[in-house]
Amino acid sequence: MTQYDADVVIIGSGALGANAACQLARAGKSVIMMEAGPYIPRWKVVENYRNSASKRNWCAPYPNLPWAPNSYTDGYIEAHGDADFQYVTSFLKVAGGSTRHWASACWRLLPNDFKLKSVYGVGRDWPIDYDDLEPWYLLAEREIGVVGSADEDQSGQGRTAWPPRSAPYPLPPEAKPYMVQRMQARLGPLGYQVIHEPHARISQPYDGRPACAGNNNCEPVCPIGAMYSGDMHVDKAVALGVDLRTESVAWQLEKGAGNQIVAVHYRKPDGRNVRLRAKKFIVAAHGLETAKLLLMSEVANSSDQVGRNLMDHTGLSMTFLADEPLWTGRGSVQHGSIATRRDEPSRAQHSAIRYSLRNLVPNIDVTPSLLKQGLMGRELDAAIRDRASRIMNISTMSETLPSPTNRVIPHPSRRDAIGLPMLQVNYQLDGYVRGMRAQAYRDFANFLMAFNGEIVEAPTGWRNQYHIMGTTIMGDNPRDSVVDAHCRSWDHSNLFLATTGVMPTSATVNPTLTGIALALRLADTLIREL
Amino acid sequence: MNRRTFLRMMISSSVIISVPAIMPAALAGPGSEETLLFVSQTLTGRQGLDPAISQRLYLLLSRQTHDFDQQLTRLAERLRRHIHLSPEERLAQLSEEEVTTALSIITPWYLGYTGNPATTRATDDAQFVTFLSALMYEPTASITPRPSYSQRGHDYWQAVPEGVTAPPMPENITAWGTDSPRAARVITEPQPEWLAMVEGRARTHADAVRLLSHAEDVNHDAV
Repeated sequence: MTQYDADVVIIGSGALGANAACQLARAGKSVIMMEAGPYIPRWKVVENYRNSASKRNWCAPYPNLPWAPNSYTDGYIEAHGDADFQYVTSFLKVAGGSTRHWASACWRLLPNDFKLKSVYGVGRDWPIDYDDLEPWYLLAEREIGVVGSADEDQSGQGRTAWPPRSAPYPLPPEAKPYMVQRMQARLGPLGYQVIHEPHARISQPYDGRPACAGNNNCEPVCPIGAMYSGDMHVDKAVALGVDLRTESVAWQLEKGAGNQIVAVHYRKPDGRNVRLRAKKFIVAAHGLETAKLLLMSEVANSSDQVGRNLMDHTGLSMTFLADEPLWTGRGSVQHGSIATRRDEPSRAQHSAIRYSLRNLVPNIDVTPSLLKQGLMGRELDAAIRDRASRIMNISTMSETLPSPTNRVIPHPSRRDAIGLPMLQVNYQLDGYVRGMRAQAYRDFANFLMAFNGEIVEAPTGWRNQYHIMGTTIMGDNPRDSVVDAHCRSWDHSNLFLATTGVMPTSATVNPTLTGIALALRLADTLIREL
Repeated sequence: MNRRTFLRMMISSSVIISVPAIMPAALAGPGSEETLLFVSQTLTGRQGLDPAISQRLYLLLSRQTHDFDQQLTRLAERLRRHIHLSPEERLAQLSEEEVTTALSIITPWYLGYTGNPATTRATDDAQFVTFLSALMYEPTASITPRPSYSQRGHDYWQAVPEGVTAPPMPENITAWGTDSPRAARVITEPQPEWLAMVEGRARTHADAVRLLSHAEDVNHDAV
C-alpha cells in the first residue's frame, strides 16, 4: 500500500494556498504547506520599513534570500518586450506571500468578464460563469473580511447594484475621505461616477483584527493587521495542524503511473533535497513561479500553454497638482474608484479601463524635487505643505488579452544560490491595450480640467500594476488550456493550481479575491474527492 | 541650482537664519560630528536636532565625500565668522562650493536618507539616516500621519482637513452607494488644451493655450 506524507501538499503559502490549506485542515485532511521563503512576523516588517532608506520599495522590508529571491532581485527576472515598456512585477517570497505588501482591493469580476469572447468577440471565455463563482466569492469575502457597499453599481454606470450578490458584504464601507468627496463633487458633473472600492482593510473589528486606523501604510505593511494578508491564514492553518515548511523550495513534480503526480522534490538552503509524497498536489506559487515549476518538471503542458498568456493591467498614470487642497494621505493608500469605462461596448475594440485613485502621504514624492530646486527653510516647508495638499495621482487598470507569445520560462542560464533557474519573461503590449490610450487621454483631460490641474507627470508611459494572470490558463478544451473549470490539470488528475495564473481574462480589477474564491472552490473539490 | 537662486531662497526664509543659542565648543576645531550638528541646525533653522542622527549623517557624508571634513569646516567657519552679520549678509558670503555642501547636509535631514532609493530593484545606494525625525513630515504633521502609526482614531479622514474651507458640496457627498450623488448622464467632451497637457505637450493650461494658439497661427500662415 502506498505510503503518503500527507493527503495534500500545497506548494506556496500565499493567500490562495493558505486559504485552501485552512479549508482542507478544517475538513480533517492532513496538509503540508511549503514556502520558499521564511516566516517573518508583522512587527519585524514594520521595524524594517521604518529603518529602511527606500520607503517606496515595497519589497524592501521583507527578507530577500539567495534561495528565495523576490521579483526585485537584480537579474532574477530577465524581461524582453517593447522598446517603450519594460515588464516589471512585484512579488515576495515569504510566508503569506505577496498580499503581505498589497493594498487589498477586493473586487469581484463582472458577469461579462467571464465571457469576453462571446459578448465582445475578443480574448477568451471562462469555462465557468459568474454564478458558478458567486458562492465562493462570498466565502472568500467572509474569510478575509471584505468591506464593501452592496448597493453599488460596480460597473460604474450609476444604475442598480451590480454584480448580483447572494448576501451583503461582511463589513460596511469605511468613511469616505475628503479627497474622494472632492473627486466626486468635481468629476460627477462631467459624467464620472466615483464609487466605493471594496477592500480588506476592515472598517470594524473582525476576526480578531482591529479596524483600520488610517495609518496610510497598507503598502508595504499594515502595522496593526487591520488589512488582510496571507499570513493570517498561514497562522490559522498552522493552528489547525497544517505542517508549514518554510525555506523549502519546490523544484520538481514527479510523475508516476497513470500520469499521476506522485511526489514533489524540494531543496533546502543547504542544498539538501527532500521528497514528499501525497495523494493530491496544489501548486499555489503565483503566476510566474507556478508556471516555472511546471515547465521545470515537464508536467501539465500537453497544451503547450504553460507559461504563456501572461497578463497584467498594464496602463497609464497621471500625476497633477489640483487648484485646491485635497490632502491625499488621510486614511488608507487607496479609496474609491472610477469604473465608468469598466464594461462598455468599446471592449470589442480596445481595453476596458478602471481608474484607481492614489491616496498616499506624498511627502516623500514631492520633497526631493523641491530640494533639487534649492528651496530651503520656511519656503521649503511651505512648498512641501502646498504640494502635499494638492498632488493627486490617477492611474488606469487596463485589460490585457491572453497572447501565447507573452510568456514566462525558466531562465536558460541564470541560476539562484541553490542552482534553480531564474525567470525569463517576454511581454509585449498589443493593439488591444494600446488602443485604449485615446480613450484614457480624453478622460484624463477631463480629470485635469475638473481640477484646473498642472501636470507633474503626464500619462505618456506604460506601467504594470503587478497583477500576474494567465500563465496556467483555464479553459474547456485540453488542447488550448492548462487546467479545467476546477483548476485541475488536464494532464494529471491529482494536480491542482491555486493561482491567478488560471484566469482566462484579466478584466480591470485586482485579481486576488477571484484567486481566493477559486482556491476555496478547488479545496472543496479536493475535500469531496479525498 | 546656482548660487544666486540659493541666496534668494535663503534670504526669503527668515526662520533658517537664526543661529542656535549655544555655539558648540567643537566648532573651533576641524570638521567633526558636533560641527555638523551646529551647521545642520543653522541651515534648517531648527533647534534640538538629534545628535545621534547627526553622528550617523556625519559618517555617511564622510564616506561619500572624501574631503567632507574640510568642506564642513569651511562652511562652519564661514557661518561662524559672519555670525555678527545679518542673515542675508552672512549667506552672501557663501561660495558655490559651500552652497553645495549646505544642500548635501539639508537634503538628508529632510528626506531621511542619502543616495537614490530604488523602487523596483533590491539594491541601491540609499542609506538610512532617520525616519521619525525626517523633517519633510513636519510641515504636514497636523493633517497627515508619518506613515506607520496615525494615532488619529478611526475615520478621521472624512472630516474637512484642518485649515481647509470646503467648497459647497451636496449634503450626501459623504455617502457611498445609491445614497451618494449621481454623476451627470453624459460624459463631457474634453477640450484640446487639457488634451495637450495629458499628451505631455504642456505642463500648465496657460502653456497649452499658448501652444495651441501658436499652432493655429502656423496653420493660418500655411493657408
